[in-house]
Amino acid sequence: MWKPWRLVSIPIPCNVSVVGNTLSIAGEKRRVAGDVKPEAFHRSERATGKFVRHIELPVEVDENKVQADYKHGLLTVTLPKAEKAKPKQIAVQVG
Amino acid sequence: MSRQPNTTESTRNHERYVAPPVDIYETRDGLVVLADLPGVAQEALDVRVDNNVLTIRGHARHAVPGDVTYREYELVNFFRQFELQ
Repeated sequence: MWKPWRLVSIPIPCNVSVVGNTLSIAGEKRRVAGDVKPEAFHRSERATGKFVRHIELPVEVDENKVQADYKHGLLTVTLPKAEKAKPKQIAVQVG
Repeated sequence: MSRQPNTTESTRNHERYVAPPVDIYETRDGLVVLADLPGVAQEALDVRVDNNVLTIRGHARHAVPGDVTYREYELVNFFRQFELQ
């Protein structure tokens, strides 16, 4: 089927890092991927610019197993708990 | 190109619709519309031109495997129309 439009996605470059129990996300959202002259714009409503965010984590995490996934405009950071932060089952001695 | 007065729907399917901010620029070949639609997969996006009206509709979905500890952002669905001259 012919469509009068085509879909193009623009990735947002960003850095994800974990130091101690602080997660940091930084990057930049540009107006367009290529070079477009300002006078070519009919509208420019979208927010753009550099961003940075630091988030204190409520538990200790394993810094080596952190994963970041960017899909459909959503960044998902998965931070596995550190072994010592996981709950441990204690066997109750009945005497 | 102008925005239609009624572009935000709030009652359809009891779901929230928000008009996404857009950038529109002109190239030698045509117009490019840029919109941020977080959470909208390509198959959940409907873009059509009907009777000189460009309609953008997107449904945001994101499954979280687990309980929410903290939330400051909620996904919304998107709807916006433009009259083409």
